[in-house]
Amino acid sequence: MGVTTACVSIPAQDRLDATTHAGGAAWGGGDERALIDRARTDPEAFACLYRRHHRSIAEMLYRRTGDAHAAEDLAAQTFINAWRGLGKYRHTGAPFRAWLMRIATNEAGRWMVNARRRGEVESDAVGGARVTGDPDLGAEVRAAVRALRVKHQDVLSLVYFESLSVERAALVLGVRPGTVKSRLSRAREALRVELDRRENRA
Amino acid sequence: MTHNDTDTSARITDARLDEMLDRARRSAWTAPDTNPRVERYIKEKSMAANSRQILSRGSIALIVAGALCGGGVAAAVTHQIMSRRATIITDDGSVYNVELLDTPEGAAGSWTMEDGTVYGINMIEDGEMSEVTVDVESPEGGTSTIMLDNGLTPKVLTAPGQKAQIRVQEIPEGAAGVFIDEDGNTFEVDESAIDTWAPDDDASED
Repeated sequence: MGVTTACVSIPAQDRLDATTHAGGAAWGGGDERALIDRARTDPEAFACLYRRHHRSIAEMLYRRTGDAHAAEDLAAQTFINAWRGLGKYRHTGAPFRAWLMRIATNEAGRWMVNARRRGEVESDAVGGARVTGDPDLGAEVRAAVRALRVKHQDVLSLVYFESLSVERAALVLGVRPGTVKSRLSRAREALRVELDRRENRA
Repeated sequence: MTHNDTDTSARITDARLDEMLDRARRSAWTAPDTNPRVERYIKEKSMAANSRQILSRGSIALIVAGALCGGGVAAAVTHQIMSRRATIITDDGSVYNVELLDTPEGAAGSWTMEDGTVYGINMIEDGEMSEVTVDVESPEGGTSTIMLDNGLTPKVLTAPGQKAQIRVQEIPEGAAGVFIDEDGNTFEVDESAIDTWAPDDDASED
């Protein structure tokens, strides 16, 4: 139960993962098991995990919410929830990042529902961007995604914004790959309708 | 990911939709490496852990003091929180008297087993309710018990290497206890069973 100095014994591969922040590239691959086990009782070990994954999780949440402040708040809540729930974490062979992404996805979904109730979610075009040929197209598409049902947002965000495979998205969402595929198909259609609607209004 | 262009009536084709989603992946915002709220949270946790570590060095003297009293240390946890003392009894009959120090999250202390293993105890007071949590992490497994001043002795059996906790809450209706295994599963026990309850065999599975 002694408090030990963490981060010192992180394998080189894990350090490499820690510096890889771009979208889905940071899925992970190093063996974090020992660090996770230590983090259950050692805050410094948990700090290593947090510093390793914070940026990618926060950027994922930004792509999801379109709000930098919300992304930082939700990222903080994600890691605090992770700390509190670390005792329940089980080594299943899936990357630790998948577990964090699941927590973050749930936090984003809750935030989205509450923001909609407060009327804070931008459901129309951001900055007047057009659907075709505009430099702000990415922001426009993300705004259109935010107008969809939360379940559709979840799957589109993970597969397209985070570049996860169907299997990995299923791992994060805790559903079967077949469910992700069918949900993805419906989400794409809903997005197409939403983008058409915005294009007609522009 | 590729998709077939099956819906020719749609104004936005599947290929165009893929392209748009690909553009949406790129966002200009770069998140900071750290988050002040998480940093503060971890710092608070570290302070609590360090308090426990510091106490563990002093607890040897406390254990000796308990032994000099002939093991007749008054059992006190929940009703004598003001005294910040607790008695820990292990299955080999060893009695550890633990002095608690205040931490940002409540009183915390620790005791050191003969093999050098340091265990922790946390006590949280919230209004009229008090809660004590004892970490149990016996390398060989066995039984650990804490004694309450009302005579209850909540007990936990651990398998070799298993981590567990004993948590007891003192509420106006009386003491209630739970056992929490290392996966976070919580098993409630009432007063009548509080001194005989033990986790299922499969509770030690990873």
